[in-house]
Amino acid sequence: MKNVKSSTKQLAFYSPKNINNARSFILGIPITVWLVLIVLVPVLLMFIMSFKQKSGYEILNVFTFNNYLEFFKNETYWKLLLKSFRMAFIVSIVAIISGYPLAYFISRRLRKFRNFFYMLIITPLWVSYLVRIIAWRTILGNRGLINTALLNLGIIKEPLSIFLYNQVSVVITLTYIAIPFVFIPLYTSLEKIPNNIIDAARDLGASEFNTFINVIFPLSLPGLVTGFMLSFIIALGDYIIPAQLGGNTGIMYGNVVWAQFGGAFNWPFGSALGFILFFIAAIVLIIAQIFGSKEGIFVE
Amino acid sequence: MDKESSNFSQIVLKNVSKVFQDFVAVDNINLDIKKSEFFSLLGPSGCGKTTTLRMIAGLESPTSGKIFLGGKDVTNVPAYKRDVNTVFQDYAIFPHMNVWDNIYFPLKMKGISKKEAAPKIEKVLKLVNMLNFSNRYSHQLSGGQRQRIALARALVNEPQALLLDEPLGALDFKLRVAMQTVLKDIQQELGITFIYVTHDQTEAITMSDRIAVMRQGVVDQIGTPDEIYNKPATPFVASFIGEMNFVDGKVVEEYEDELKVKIANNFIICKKNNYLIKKDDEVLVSIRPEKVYINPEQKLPNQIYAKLSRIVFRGDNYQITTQFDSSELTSVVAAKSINLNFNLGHELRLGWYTEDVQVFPIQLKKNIIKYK
Repeated sequence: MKNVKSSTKQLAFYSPKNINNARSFILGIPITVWLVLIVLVPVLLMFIMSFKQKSGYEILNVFTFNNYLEFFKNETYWKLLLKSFRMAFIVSIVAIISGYPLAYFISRRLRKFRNFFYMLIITPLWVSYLVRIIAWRTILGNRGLINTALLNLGIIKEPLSIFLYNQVSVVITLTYIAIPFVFIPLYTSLEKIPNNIIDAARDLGASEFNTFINVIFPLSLPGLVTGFMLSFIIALGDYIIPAQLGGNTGIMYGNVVWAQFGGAFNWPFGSALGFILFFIAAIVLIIAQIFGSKEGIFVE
Repeated sequence: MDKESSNFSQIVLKNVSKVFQDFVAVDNINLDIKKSEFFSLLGPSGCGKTTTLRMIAGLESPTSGKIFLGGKDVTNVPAYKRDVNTVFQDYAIFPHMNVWDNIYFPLKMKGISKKEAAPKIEKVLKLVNMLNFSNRYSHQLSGGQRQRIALARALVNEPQALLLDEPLGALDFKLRVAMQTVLKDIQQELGITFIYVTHDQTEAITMSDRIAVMRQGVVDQIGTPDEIYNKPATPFVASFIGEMNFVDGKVVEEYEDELKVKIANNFIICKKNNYLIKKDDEVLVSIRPEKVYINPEQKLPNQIYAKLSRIVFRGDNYQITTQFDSSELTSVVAAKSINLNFNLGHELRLGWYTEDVQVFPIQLKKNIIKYK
């Protein structure tokens, strides 16, 4: 009897369930290592760094809250953070307003060439970030596309300088950068809506407009929230676009963080500024997540 | 029958066709569905039954032909303005709304306030026996419960007709049988016209007042379940509904309203029908297994002798296969009614009544459905 018992135990160990568990454990190792090394460790290092102190060209191994206190004492920093939040918010809203019709049209209206248009919108992601930014400088600049066109049409006599080196140019370019990131999750969530749900809405008396308002839009909300978050993160932390196109007024929080690591050589303070951004952005994203999680989105 | 034909035509399809690119889904069909009728569109997958239903709903527009609803031409009326509602195959419950909001949806679209809607919603929820589920979401319901909610949602507006697209297809057998009764009861209680699409012949036979049997976009036969079962108009209908024996034969003699047909070395008598069949024509003869009697006590009009080749016990009956020459005949007898003390190869006397045999031109043999 004893033998039988132990052999069943052995069998239980080799049961498909256990093998599956072991397999998913092994398969999970690379991604775990990757996450720890590439994401968790740097954030942790930055967090530790933010409590150190810069002295001349040295970083002292002390524990201090001075870097965080500096942020709250100096209103330039938190005002700039607020301004960056405002800009990132505007960018995300504009990106969604322009990306939604695009995603809706391509995912639900087009019958042919759907993949072609999808790729067309994704293509800019393959072009260097810097190249795309410089491209916008040539569009918005003094002798850029817009000014030249307006001059040639005789609408203006002198080139307008309102397009470049201010907040507007930063918002425009950030929006352009963000649109594919808004488009992809929106497209996915719109495409996932089963046709018979739309048929049911029409059948039950909903016009095209009512079907959109009552069925399609609510069901696309998860994609919309994801798109918003992606766009928000991209815009909030960016420092290259403000540096290239922002001039004096278009400067963002990211530039200040960057400056601490670069010119100012104050890594501890830069880390503290970075961590504050990280922390507040995380709170905003959690709120967005809660707002976006609607009951009964398609679960397999 | 007279009562029905004098009734008001609820839905009429006149020469309706639907062509998708190069595929003819529905080929010039005519239907006349009466008020309060339980009407089924029956056929194998791809026969055009769902397309027909979608055209009635307005979700698909016919390539040619006209559709009338309650006497009015609705061919060009969009789905949301048509006074018919559909129960979809996989229910199409809105996943972001709870049961109550799902059922409120069609009322909301009509501009009815929540307050006004509440008693109506309660009424349909009671009708489908789901009163306690109004706060649930689709993913919290079982298949049968979703089915009931889809039904309630389609009924709450009291449409002129309810269209059901294989509504029980996704349910398991016992639940399906239970839901058949629920549907039939509700139809009789409300007196609403039901158009029921199914590929399940038993479902169609047990529930319908009339059935249209479809094949490759055309209607082969429209009739009561009794007519469809006992007087199939084509070999396709005969083979699609229930079990059927088919035997090749040749007409050897033509009488006033009967034909003498030679099958193998036997002669049988068949009633004439609408087909133009003359002497010397090759024919296809069909008879239901339960109409073939084994060793009948009295002499029946048609009799042949055949050798017993297989006996299968099927619970309440036996399926007995016999062979004569190269042909096979299957009969079904109630389990209790027969003494089966025969060995395989034993010669049996098979008999049947003349009116139970159908005779078709041999050209139609290709339309027989063979299940493999």
